[in-house]
Amino acid sequence: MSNCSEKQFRNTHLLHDKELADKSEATLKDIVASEKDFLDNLGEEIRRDTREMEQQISFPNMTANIMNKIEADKSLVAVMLDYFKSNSLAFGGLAACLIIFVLALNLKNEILEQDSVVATDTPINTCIIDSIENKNSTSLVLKEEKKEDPVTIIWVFENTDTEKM
Amino acid sequence: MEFNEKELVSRSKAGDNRAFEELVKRYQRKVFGIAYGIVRDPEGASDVCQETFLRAFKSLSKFKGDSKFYTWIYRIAVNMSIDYVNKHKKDPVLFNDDTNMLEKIDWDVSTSKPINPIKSLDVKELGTLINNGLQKLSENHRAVIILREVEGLSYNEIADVLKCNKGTVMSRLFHARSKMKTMLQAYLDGEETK
Repeated sequence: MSNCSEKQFRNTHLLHDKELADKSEATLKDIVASEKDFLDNLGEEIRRDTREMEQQISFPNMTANIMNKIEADKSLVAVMLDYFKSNSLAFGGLAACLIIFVLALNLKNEILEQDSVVATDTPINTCIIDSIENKNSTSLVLKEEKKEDPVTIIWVFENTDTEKM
Repeated sequence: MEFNEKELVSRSKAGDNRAFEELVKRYQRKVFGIAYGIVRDPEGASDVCQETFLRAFKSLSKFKGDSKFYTWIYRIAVNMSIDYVNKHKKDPVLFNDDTNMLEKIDWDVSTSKPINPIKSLDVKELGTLINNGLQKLSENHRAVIILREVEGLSYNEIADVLKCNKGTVMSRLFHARSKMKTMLQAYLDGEETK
């Protein structure tokens, strides 16, 4: 450095920096260019491949298939609607029958439920109102009286073994 | 008489099948292109394409017209294609022999580059490699690359179709392209040395 002036030193380094800058710019341009080439190629190849595949497909047939399916779907719905319309009386009757059946079933269940409640939950007063003794056994006359029910039921057990009772 | 897209949609909504047929004719190639790009099987793509239009017809009443018809139908196509791929992931017919080509290459794990040049394989065709590369991408990456490269949609339009924001589209596109480039690197290197 001592052999060259400051001006010379600066010029040399500036030149060097410029060279480096030019070089890196060139590299960057190359990279960008190669990237662009790659993307262009990629896009072009994909498009070409798609076009080739399109040639294997009959698009008019495809359109016809789609429209046929749509028509078929439409006509199926129309047939079902017509059927319901023309058979509305029959369907109404059927629905009414079903409703009546379900209601009847519910009513029956309710009645059974009530019966079971009466049978199990209603307190019963039972008392022996008479007993007839034989040699080995005793006949009992029992009186049952339900609390809510004024009717009295009299049970008569004849020849009942009192030991087992 | 030529109707514009909006008129065709409103006529279709009113039950005019001819109007809907016109929409099918206008968009079936594009819908097929999207479906094929994601499904990577022409027969599957054809099925998806037909189902897309049937679904669109049944859902026409839900289409409010806030977005354009084509972005709406592209969205249905993308969703149905992804569903199709998910349903057939284990189907050996759909993802068949061609996908194995890239698996035949020995990959250097540290650099993510192939050790053996692809040129050593029998398959040299770039198209086949791109096809194989696309099959290796996720469905979302495939969708974004197809919408951009085949349909030429803008980032905003892709965001509208995929129901995500523009940043996500850009990110997915960047990753999809990077992955494709990595997978095709050996081919590209081979081309340069020719």
